[in-house]
Amino acid sequence: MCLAIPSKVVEINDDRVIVERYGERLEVNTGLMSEPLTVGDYVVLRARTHVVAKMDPQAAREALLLFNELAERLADDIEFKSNHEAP
Amino acid sequence: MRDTQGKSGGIEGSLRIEVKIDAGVVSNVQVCSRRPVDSGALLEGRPVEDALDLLPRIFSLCGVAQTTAGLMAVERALAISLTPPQTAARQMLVAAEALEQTVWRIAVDWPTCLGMRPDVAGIRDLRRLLRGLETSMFNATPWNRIGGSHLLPDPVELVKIIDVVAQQAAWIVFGDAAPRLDNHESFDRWLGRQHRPGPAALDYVRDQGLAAFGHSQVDFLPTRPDTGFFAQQLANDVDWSFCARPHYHGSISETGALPRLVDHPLVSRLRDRHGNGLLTRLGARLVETDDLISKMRSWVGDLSDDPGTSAHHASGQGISVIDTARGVLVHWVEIADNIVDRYRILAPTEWNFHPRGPLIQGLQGANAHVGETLDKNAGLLINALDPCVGYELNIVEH
Repeated sequence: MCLAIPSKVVEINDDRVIVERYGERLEVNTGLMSEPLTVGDYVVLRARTHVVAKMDPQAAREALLLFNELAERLADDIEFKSNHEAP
Repeated sequence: MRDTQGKSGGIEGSLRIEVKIDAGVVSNVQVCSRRPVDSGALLEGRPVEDALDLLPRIFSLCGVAQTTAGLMAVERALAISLTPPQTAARQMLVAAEALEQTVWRIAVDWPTCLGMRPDVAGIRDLRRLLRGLETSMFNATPWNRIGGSHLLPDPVELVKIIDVVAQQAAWIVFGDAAPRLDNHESFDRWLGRQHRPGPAALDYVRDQGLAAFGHSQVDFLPTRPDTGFFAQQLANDVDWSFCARPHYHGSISETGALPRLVDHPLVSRLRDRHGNGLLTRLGARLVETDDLISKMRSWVGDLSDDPGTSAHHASGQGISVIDTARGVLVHWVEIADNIVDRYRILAPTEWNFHPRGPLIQGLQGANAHVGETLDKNAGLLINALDPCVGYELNIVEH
């Protein structure tokens, strides 16, 4: 069940970008993308290592609301919910 | 796909695999899963069509398989019979996604496990080609409608796309001289002669004496299991415990490429020689790429113009069981007056990474000092069993 959590591009370095989601930053590979990315884009990752798709901002917003809902169902020690703002 | 989990990793879930070594032998293995097995609850309380529209957004990495399983469960619940052309079109899309995922494992995850450079560019081209299949069947119409969408297939274009996909996948997976997969001697000759990232993993396994590494005797889940059994279990799975720790009529089971292709001549031959070890498992993955493309070719002939079917009921229970890249995926739904009342999803990872499943049994008692490192060997076994989330592998030697 590979969940597709929208990640926001915050920095671009050649074929790698820094993305942020729920306050966490990840450096990921963009080698799979045929279209360019810009800072502020929302993307979907595979295995927290590669960008596999660019997301429409509205779709990202809707998805984040869903994942916030899922977060509420998870253990209390995970504190991502309160730290995140939808785009 | 080793992973250090942060907060977002908490939502998408992860596997933590703890391995202990005593006197050169793996003495204990534990899998701790933090996967959200109750994600089906996100669909509950929503109108059926809205709920189905959410599936590709939640699961956009395996979104086609999840959406297809959702559509089929809903169609069963609402007593809709999908026509054979619509069924073939969905099978084509699910197989295309499975092909991409399988080739990804071979070209990206296996080499990464071994510290080699992955073939990301090859996958990018394959993904671009596979996207043409949907357009050549449904034109601009969204394919994911209950009862099927307006199907207007272009068989000539589809065959052309599948031919190019087959060439691209074969280059990534087999290099410039693919073996005959119905002939084990051809396969043996091919091993060691390619310098592509994928075949290199098989060379490593063979050269390091790891062909039988990870052998286990866990039962195989049938590719066409007893849907009545699953329907009963999931309908009663109030606390999601069956979704988290599934069994099949009481047996812990394995699902995926090896169970699916166990009767293929090459896989059968590898199994005779090496049991369910690494070489058999990785070999089954290679065979799977070829098998998926053959199936895609066969479904082209089943496609024809078809407007889809409408629903006449608004309530009911339904189940679907479909084959995906990672194994058998089950969706179960209960609908009341067009609202999703209850929804359960049973994913392949829960079978293969079960606390008594094939990973645990395959590592328990293994020689920790064969091959270059246990880290690499266990990583290949984990990738062969194909989790749909990242994993963290911790090895402790006493």
